[in-house]
Amino acid sequence: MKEESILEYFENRFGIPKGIFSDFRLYSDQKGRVLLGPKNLASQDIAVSVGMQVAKVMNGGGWKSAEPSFKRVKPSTNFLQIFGKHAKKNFISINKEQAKAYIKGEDVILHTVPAGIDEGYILVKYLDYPLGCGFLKQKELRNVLPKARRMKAEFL
Amino acid sequence: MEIPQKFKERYVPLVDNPEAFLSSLLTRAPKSFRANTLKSSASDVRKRFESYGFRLRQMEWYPDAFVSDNPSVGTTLEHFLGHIYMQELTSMLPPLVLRAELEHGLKSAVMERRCQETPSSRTSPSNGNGIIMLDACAAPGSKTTQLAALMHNRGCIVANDLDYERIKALKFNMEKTGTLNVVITNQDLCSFPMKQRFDAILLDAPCSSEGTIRKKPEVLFHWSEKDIRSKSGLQKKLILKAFELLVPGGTLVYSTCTFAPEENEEVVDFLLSQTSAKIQKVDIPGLKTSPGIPEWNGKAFRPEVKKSVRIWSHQNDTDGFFLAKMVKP
Repeated sequence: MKEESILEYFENRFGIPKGIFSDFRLYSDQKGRVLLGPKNLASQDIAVSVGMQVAKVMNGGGWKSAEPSFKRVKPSTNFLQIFGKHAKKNFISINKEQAKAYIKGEDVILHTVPAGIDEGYILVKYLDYPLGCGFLKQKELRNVLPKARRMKAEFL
Repeated sequence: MEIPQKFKERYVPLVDNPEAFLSSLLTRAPKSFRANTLKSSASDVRKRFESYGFRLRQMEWYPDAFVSDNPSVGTTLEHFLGHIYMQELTSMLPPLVLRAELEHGLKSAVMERRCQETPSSRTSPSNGNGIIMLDACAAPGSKTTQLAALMHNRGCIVANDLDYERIKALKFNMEKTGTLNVVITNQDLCSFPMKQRFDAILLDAPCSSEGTIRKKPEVLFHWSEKDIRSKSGLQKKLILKAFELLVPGGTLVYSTCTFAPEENEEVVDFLLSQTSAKIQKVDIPGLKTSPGIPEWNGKAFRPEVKKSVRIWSHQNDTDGFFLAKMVKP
């Protein structure tokens, strides 16, 4: 099934095993958004939205037509905050000051990038907590937090 | 802030301690939140807040519920991560009184799945997807996301709201809390399609919001008995429709954040008089509550209406609230 290719992407990019999604089902819309929701939908014919957006395929076109490529698929922060704990690769751990800046919506310049991390969309972690999605370009961690989620964190 | 004389005349005779009640309305309730068990746990949240030097009080009646001595809850990492959800304590009650039904629904689903896995019963019809519930007036989603947590993200919640603008807040809160088992609909409940029936329905009805005066004193500026009567008429339509949407054996929880008996006991009495609904006692061990009142303005309600509960703002230092639980035979 084509929808499942997004799960291949999560597994290849982050090492998040496909099996953990077996109780849910993937849905997609015309805008390239991929949603994870209940297996069996009630009131489907009048639904205005289902479950949670887990990823978006960039650069237009239905996501089904696109082969999931690391540059074109943007995992959502909300998705990474729940399932990021299963990630085994392509994550960057940042320190407290960097986390404050990241949560505020700022880009972060990293001192070093650990070996084996691919550029593109990555998981940002602070302590053991998946904070969300970032875009890594050399030592620059670009902030892609949704604006509505940004805030000034005092206690962390 | 002056409490209208008419307001005092209505409610002072109903409370055990009028002075405590009236003075509670003039102070803000403490900051409360819920540990979001879809992303964290009450014990982890507690540890983190204690490491920040916050003093938390954990509610005996619901260990996921906390009150904080420090109002800066909204500047914590846990708030950013959606590990907590800022919610008034009384707002946590309607999902909580459905907990037994939700857990039973989940157990049945697990049983069904096991049956499906055995070859002999593979052909038997079964949805195997757990409980189907309706949150009839869902936005901004405090109770929807709590229901999802109690359901461990399984089954399906239809979260409906008439107001499309408020649905944006519902969607935001769902995504932030990691809620997956929800379908959002944007219907007038009175014309909600009848082809889908529900195992459980929460009708947290639009009301005159008298119980929220502590955080929204402006409620008193707009307060009128005319508004109460108008809301009561709407609530009677909504409760009848919600009851129709239940499967036989299904459970309906009706709640408001107001003191007005016209919007509470009178609405429940109306449902009992018009349908086969049976009321069940609401029991929340550890929380101070009062039974539903037996009469109002000379009109006696059915005696069983006292199985509903009132929460006066001074009893637990919260907002005011009303809850009733009915089943469809």
